[in-house]
Amino acid sequence: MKFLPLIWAAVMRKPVRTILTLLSVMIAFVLFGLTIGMNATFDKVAAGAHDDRIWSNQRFFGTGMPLAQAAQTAQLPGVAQVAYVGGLPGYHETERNRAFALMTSENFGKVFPDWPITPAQWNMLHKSRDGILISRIQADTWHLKPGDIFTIVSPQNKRADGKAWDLKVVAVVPDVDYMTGGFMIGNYEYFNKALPLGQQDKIGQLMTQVSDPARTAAIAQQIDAHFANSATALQSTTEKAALDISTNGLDLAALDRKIALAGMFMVLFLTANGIAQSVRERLAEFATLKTIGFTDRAVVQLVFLEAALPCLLGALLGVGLAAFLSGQLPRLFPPGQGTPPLPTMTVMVFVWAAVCAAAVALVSAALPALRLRRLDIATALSGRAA
Amino acid sequence: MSSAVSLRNIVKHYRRGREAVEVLHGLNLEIAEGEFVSLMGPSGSGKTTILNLVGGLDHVDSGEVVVAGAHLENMSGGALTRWRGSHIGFVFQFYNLMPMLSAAGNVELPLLLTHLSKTERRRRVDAALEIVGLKDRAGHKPGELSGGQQQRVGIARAIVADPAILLCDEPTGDLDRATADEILALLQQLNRQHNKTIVMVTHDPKAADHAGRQLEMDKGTLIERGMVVA
Repeated sequence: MKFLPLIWAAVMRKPVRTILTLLSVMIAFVLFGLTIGMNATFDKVAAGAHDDRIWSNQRFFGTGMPLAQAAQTAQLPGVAQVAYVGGLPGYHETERNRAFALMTSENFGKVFPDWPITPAQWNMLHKSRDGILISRIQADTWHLKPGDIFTIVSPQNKRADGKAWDLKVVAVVPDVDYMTGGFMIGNYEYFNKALPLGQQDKIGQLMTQVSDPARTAAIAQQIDAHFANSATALQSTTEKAALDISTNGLDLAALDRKIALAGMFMVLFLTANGIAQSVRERLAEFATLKTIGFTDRAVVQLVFLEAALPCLLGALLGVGLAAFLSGQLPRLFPPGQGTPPLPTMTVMVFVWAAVCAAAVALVSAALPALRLRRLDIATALSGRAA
Repeated sequence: MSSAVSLRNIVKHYRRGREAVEVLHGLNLEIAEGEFVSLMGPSGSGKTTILNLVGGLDHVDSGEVVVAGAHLENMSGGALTRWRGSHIGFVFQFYNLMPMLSAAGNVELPLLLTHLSKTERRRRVDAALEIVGLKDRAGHKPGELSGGQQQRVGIARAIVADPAILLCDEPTGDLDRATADEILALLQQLNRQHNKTIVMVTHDPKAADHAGRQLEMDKGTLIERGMVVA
């Protein structure tokens, strides 16, 4: 701590240069924070995935899968139970306010016991045919509370009587990590019966729970094989694979890491250049310090701390700004449409930023420090050192 | 009186390109404790080389350098640095102050390497600034001080760790006559009242007159110009 005034004096010797360096480091760490925060989100979502569930969708584009496929899937060996959902897309009041409700089978809560919905809340939903459970994000978006009526106009899924869908909020429930825009859950039974006859008994997705988690992948293949020759062939994926970003074509997590690494190289070149220039300009000052008793080690520490100060401060400000921006991002998306996965600013993101900042400072200070170790004091004091 | 500085058979070469130039040829010098010695001579005669050898900033090619009882020719770089910090105070021609630190901050620098408490450091800094007559300018940065005041800060920095020996390289070379006389009077005061051994390199015969003993370097050889009463 007693060296702090000396370090601060060195850093503030050229305030404009220091501030520009700090800003550049900060911007690089905003990028770093957002990308590593995205990876934290991916990790969190992947960690929350259950290894005993399979998600099945229609393999080719169509109007939905026959409800009968749920019953047939439930008969396959190794399948414990099957839930299904139908989608109710539409808008609320004006077409700009897009809304979506997931109409679920009655056993949805049993297949997804990890969702933060209590048995009492499921019961409330099942007892109210036109009821919906609404997550906190959606409740805040639409300013809804239990007892309110939320109307969805759905051009795709018109009711048989031609009316809009008036859904009654029965409870507000917590959100689920991977449903980043929040969710609304209604009763598939009610939804199905309210549709015109020609549109009834169609589902959008099957969720299968297996008895033996070790056989989940094999059972997913078995489901696809079973419906391979039907008019609506399925594509089944284990929930683990579906929520693991690295297995979904473009590995976004790896891409994020490369972007963060590129940002760190930018900071490294910037800091290394700045500290090298600063040391070059002050060789006589360092020679004076060595003359009056500062050892090589003390001088190297000073240079390292001089490099570390803008790096660590820039990292803290940058990741802090990234955390702030992450909180503001949902506001950029229209209500009801959901949002893409957003960065999660965990403690580890801040720790990684600090570690990277320290590493950048260490590497960028290495060459100037080496130069100072080799500095010939007599030559430097005479002004001949270049 | 025992020796503060003892140089015996000193040989020192410098390389200029491919050529080795011998600056000191078997030089001998004894400086007693409490002496104020001036070292004069033309540029390139080896004055600063002697100062650097006595201060442990440079190594001899052969010979013995004994300063404050320590054989410097055998010391490693790190040991020499630590030794310098506690035994030698340096005063430079161009003051060599840290421009962003206050006068007090500059004077405190040698004490940062000690285990002294902040309060004790502060006390010693105040005492050193008091001796050089700059206590009221402790908070000023070098850019806010005159040349003479900056040199006083440099002297305060040199004495704050209470070294036995002060090495001054052209301490008045950048000052006008009146200010130079003030600085030289201050060095005399440090020599007489605080018993500091002072070795001062100078080009200025009037500055040299303030020393108790005057030496002149000529082509690597020392010429004693006789003891004078300072």
